[in-house]
Amino acid sequence: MPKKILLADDEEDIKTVLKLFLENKGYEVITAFDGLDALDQVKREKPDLVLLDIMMPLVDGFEVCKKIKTDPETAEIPVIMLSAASHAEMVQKGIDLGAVDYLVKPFEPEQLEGLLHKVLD
Amino acid sequence: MPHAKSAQNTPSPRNAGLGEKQYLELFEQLSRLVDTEDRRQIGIRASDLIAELLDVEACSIMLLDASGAHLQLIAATHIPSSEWEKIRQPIDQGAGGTVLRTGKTEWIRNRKEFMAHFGRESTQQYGTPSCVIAPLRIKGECAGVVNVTNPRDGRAFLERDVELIEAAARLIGSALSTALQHEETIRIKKNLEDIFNSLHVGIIQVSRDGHVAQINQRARELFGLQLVKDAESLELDEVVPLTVYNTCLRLVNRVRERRDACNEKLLLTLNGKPTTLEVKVNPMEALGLLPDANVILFEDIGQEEEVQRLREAERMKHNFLAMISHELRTPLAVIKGSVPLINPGPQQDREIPPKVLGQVHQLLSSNCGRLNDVINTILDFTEIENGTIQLNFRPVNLHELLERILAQHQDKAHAKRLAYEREWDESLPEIQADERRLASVFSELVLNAVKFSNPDQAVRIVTRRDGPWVDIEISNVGPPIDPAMQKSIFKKFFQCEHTMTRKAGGCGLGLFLVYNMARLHGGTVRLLRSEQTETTFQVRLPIERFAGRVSA
Repeated sequence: MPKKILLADDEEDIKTVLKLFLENKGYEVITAFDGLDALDQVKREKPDLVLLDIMMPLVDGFEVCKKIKTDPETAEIPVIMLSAASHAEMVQKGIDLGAVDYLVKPFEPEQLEGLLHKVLD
Repeated sequence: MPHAKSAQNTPSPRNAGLGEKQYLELFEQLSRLVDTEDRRQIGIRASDLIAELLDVEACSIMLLDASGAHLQLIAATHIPSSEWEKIRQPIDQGAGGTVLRTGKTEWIRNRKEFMAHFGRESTQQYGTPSCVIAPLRIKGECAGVVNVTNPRDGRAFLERDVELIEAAARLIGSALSTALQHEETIRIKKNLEDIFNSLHVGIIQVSRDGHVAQINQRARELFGLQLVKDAESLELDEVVPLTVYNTCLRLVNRVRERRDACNEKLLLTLNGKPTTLEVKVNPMEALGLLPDANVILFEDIGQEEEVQRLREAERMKHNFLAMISHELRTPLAVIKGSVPLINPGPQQDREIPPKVLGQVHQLLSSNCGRLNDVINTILDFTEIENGTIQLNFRPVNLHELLERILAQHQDKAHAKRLAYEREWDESLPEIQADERRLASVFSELVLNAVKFSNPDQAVRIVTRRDGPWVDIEISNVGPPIDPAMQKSIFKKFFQCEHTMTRKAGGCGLGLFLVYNMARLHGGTVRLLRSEQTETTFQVRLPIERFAGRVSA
């Protein structure tokens, strides 16, 4: 069974390129286009991991992460933050909310791959 | 004592006065006193010289004191110097007082004359009858006396002795004038320094080579330099923080161009506390100083309002940079992410499916375009801010341009299942416009319409000719713009609050540029209405090239 990854980002192109990359590496990828959609799919699909953009419409990534981590049903699902914002306090906030890591865009896809191995294997 | 020496060297013939040689030497020596800056030293040297070279028993010099009511002894050959300070005489008494008041030399040849002049016995220590009291003039005013008493050979002073003493007094007077002038200069300088240092405004004078020529106490406090002794030998950038230094340079250059005072306010942390500093540079020519030297003024303006305004500007700048970096990083992330997808592998043997190639091609081309757009936005913004923007007017087919833009945003519209509704006025001729800039205007408006549209709705674009004008309206159905914010949407760096979720205008320049580009074309842009049912922006452009000038 391939591992299922939920990719939540409102940037269509980011989703397309990461989906292609991850599928090529053998993961199953589902996508969400805003914070509400992401929360919805986390509950319904129970992915093995969530890749979460921070700046998303309706509900931002921090809020989504908080909700995932405080809901006992989903608290065990690892979350990785992806953001173009690189301030130290943003990174710290993500980690404080329970994310396993925080990748600053633009990142090397191989960097993401390594991280996925570490978290999922 | 000098007396013994002169007695040996110049045995004067009785009743014949002194020889030419002594006179010449006296004048030569007294002339040298002009370079002496200390009044006291002049008095001591002059009285010694006169006593020695005229071979008299005593010579003393008195000067008017600061009150002008007394003559104060400043030097005497026959009184120990420790006593001098105590000896003062009211100007309405004694021979000195008389000389001072009349400005005429008193010449007394014997005891009888003394009695006749003063109505009493001489109080001179030596008790001998012959003395000459000559007036000392400083800058033409009678300001003291030189008192020469008793030639050692026992004779009385002769007329030529009197002339000689008067001439010596004139020399002493001019030496004292110079010394006083020097003291006055020092006093004025000290006064100016006190004023300079007590001002609430920090002042740094910079020489043409960038060195700090003068720095006052307030500037030392502002920049934490109290303990730096020789701040004057430093360069300006060693004395003030980098942001202040850059501001100073900018202002100095601006002053050079405009020949007018320039100032700028900046918010920074000085001595550990947030400070609003006003930096001001004055053109030196106006102050009659060197054109290449600059006086820079620094004022800590604590006004709360100003601080607020600057904080707000600072916050906007910060947001702007954060958003710009987001706008640059997102397409870059897509481009970076695309690279491994078309990597043929180390042996060049990896098959890349044509579908993937097609997708990657599309991703690369649209994201390179997006990067280019962000860079154009920044450049246009800078040019508008600097007032250097130049439009490239060409005939533009508006409908073709709009179709191109609608196609660019087709994917995003499609994702929300939005339809485009076009209402074209087919009679519309080509208009004179800068095609790239106009494209950015409509692209921004269409993109906003798509972004803020509710799903499953229509984005409507209407063109309409109105005499020499063409109106373009772009509407969407979605949450209306907060009425409180409607006024500010065309301002630079405007962002709907909570940028984390709204992600409204990219870098907060979109509508600011739309507004300015429309104006530069001689047109307008306005929010026609924003209600629950519909939000509509209207752009009005002249069909012919706009001939006037519009300041941005």
